[in-house]
Amino acid sequence: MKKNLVSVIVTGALAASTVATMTAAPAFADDAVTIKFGIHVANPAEQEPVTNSIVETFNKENEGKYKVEFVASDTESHSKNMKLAATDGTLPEIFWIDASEAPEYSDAGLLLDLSDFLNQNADIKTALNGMEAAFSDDNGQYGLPYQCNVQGFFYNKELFDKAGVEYPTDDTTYDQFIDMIKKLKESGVTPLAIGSKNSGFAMWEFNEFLSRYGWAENIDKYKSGETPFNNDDLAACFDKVSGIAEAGAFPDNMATIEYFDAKQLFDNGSAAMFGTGQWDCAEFDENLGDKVGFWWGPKFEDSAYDQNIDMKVPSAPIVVSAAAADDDKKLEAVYEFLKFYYGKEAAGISYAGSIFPSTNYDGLSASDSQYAMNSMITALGNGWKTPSAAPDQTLSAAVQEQLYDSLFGVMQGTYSSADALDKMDQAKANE
Amino acid sequence: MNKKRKVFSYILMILITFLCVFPFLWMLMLSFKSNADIVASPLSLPKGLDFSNYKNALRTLNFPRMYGNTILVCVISILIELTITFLSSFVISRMEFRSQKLRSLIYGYLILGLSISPFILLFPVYRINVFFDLRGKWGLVMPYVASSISFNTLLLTGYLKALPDEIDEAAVMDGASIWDLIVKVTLPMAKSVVATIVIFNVLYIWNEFPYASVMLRDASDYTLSMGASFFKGTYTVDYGGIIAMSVLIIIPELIFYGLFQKNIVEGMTAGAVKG
Amino acid sequence: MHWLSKKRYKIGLTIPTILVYSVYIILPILIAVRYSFSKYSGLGKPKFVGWKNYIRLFHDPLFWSSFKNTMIMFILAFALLMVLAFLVALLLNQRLVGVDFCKALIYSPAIIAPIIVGIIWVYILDPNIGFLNGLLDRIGLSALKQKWIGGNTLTPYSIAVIYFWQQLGYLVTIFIAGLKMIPGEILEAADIDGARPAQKVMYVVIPMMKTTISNVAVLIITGVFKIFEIVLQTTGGGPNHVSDSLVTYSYSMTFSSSDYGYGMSLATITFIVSLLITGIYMAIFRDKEKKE
Repeated sequence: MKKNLVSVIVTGALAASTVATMTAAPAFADDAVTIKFGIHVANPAEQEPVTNSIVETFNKENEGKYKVEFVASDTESHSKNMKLAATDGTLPEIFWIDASEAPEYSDAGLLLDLSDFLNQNADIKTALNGMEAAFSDDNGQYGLPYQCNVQGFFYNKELFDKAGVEYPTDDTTYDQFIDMIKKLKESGVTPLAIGSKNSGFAMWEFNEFLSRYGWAENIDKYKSGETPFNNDDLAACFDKVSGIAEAGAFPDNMATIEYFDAKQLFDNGSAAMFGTGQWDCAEFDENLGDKVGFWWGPKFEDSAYDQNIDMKVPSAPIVVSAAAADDDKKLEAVYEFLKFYYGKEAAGISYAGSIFPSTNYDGLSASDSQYAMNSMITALGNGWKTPSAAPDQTLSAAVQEQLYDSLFGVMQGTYSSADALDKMDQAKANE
Repeated sequence: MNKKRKVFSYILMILITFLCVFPFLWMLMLSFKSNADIVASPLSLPKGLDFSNYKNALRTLNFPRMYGNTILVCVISILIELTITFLSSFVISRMEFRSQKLRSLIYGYLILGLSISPFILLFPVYRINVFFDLRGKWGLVMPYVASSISFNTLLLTGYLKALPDEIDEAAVMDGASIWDLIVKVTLPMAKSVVATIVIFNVLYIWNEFPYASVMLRDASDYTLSMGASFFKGTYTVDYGGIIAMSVLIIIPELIFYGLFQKNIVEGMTAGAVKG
Repeated sequence: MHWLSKKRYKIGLTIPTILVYSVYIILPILIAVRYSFSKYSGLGKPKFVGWKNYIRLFHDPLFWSSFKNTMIMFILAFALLMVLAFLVALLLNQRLVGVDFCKALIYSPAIIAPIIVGIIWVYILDPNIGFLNGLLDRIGLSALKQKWIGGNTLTPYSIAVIYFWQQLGYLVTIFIAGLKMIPGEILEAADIDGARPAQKVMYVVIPMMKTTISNVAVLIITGVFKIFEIVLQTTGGGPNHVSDSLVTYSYSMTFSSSDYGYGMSLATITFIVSLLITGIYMAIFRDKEKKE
């Protein structure tokens, strides 16, 4: 009896799984050349809607000819997966990769030099207007900017009004910022939403802090080892971050929530500010509408460096696997897709979805109801200079990881500023 | 037993049982609450039997495919591991060795795996799979088979050793071949231990996550635990959906447990009491 | 039997098992150890660096904190499980109405995928949306509210409690199986001698259950060193790795930081530590057994 039950279940299970696998397989033969696009979010349709609709549009226009399919997982898993895929030759034809990791791939000969592509498509090269320079080395043009990132603080005007706090401006200082946080806290909201679980990268608003303490001026010295990371400038900068934490800016459970949870706090009006970039604009329009404002961050009176800095930078690159060139048809499909991705039509889709594309085409702009994006465009109107890359994108993978860890350590009180910076020096020494 | 002590025992038993079951009940309750309620008032009761979280989870997660993959990997792994470990355990426990040392050496070697954590093996196993060109869900089969060898050997040899020798001798007298002996004579007698092993390994594979997290990259290959983790990574802010998904994964397991409770308990205790 | 015990049968029938086991269990250990002496980012070729990873490991405060966390988890889970599982087993070994049903329910957490266990407990322990802090608020004990998970100190203790919940029923069942093996006459003899229940347990039951207790101990030791999903789901090791266990720290170094060489050296050390603890325990226990 016992054995019968087992065998019945095993047989049933086998049958069920056969059916499941059969139904899972595509039923129709498709002549289209299929290329894979590895992306850093698990659910592109919701988390990268613009890229998703660019791909969908491309697929529709090229039906039966080319087809782009996503290989999608969250940022940390994506990075792990691409590494593993690189070791066994299963990299997707096109994939997003963090700027800190791309040079390694390039050195290992895994990436296709896209100089040919740019030479064949002079209009795209013009439209990129130098944005692509961040991703070239001795091996050539190993990547192209995925988008153009504008990063800083978004704030909820309604919550500021309720707390009786003035909106931040280009001239708001750090001390005023601390005041602002305290008053917001008193009014019963979380002043600044942030989550650290699996989201070390979600520190975009602090890139502006680093820049205002001379990151761009000193990065070469940091990298060569001439100046340690633990120096007066960065120590002052980290102290400011810890001051924000002490003022009670962050949610109590920041260690158990992720970037997405933190964003949710801002979306549903329980947090007054949230640091992020243009990729979240559409979501804010939907949830907060015209209540949303954008701000670069506080000015630091104790810093000797230029404070008039915006943050409009090339995002991480998308790269093409060198193996794609082994198959003429795949290469053709890749080139066609890139042509579309960096073309005017895709740029239009980007603007409509509140994303700044890395290309510049005339006659594209945001509509009036794109509140979040328009607030960014207004902020950009001050015409300040902008670094050629976001500070966190100028480091090697190991040091970048440590920068994230260090920043969040300071925010959560696990590290002092000096500890946090020492750890970056150690990470550099371990390379 | 005096009365006071008896009453006390009942109270204690019910209290402990409640504490153990409470997290499940809590989960079940949360699954009927809206996202906003879960965050804003964690302690409030659901407003009614709202199944929208379940609808959400079912819509966004490809349950048939996840179950299909899990079952497929499960069935193949268990068929392979049962076949090979039954044969080797037969040799170790029933056949004659001139050197007893060799017998215990083979046994000891195969048992060693009980104390090896899979985490040291993850990356190397990935490389070995690449070498054999085993990818996606197919890459899970051999690690699962290998992970089961120690446990199966322990249980099978223990059981087979205890069977009387006369049975084999009688069969051999009747002119049985080695295959007859294994398949027609020994296997039927080992039914109950085989059932225990099957159930035990079904649960292991059902719940396994570390290997799955390294081997599976394509959503079409996801097994249940990997799907659960993926769902959580994808819909981080859909707390209701995550809870509903967890409940949907738990329920079949609990049904399975209810059906085979006796074997499961036997298997787990046999492994431990004898080990 | 004798004439069927031919060499070629013996070899032929054991070879598949030995082959699979050697390739997928033993060989990977050797590979891991080899990687642990190299610097390898996952791309290109690993570079041999000698003992460097191990030297770094001994100077790495995060290694020590994850070591400490693992030990906290181990000691707390060990104490809780050993004592409480045994007491619950004594309780449930009585003839009570519905005891089998209760046993089944207490056992049920052991069936659930650890990854789901982690998810469930987030909703109980999370400082903001969890049941526990909510309850404390409700009954006016807000002062006792803690960051049960995700703070700087409590996470490993909470993980131990979660693990305790998950394993309790399993170990209770093993203890009950052990209790059932004690011959009834011995217990009756103790009763006739007028032993009180506590004395009976101390001087009769526990000494009779040496093997079972030892097996449970080994199960807890090897089990604690495999806790992974619970940490991953509750805090992901954060903030700043302060709640990482050896296993999650090794996983995160290998797969998140792509420092395969260092990650493998951590894995190797973790493996050695768990073997050592098991070994020490066995040695002490065996020794005692011999003396008596």
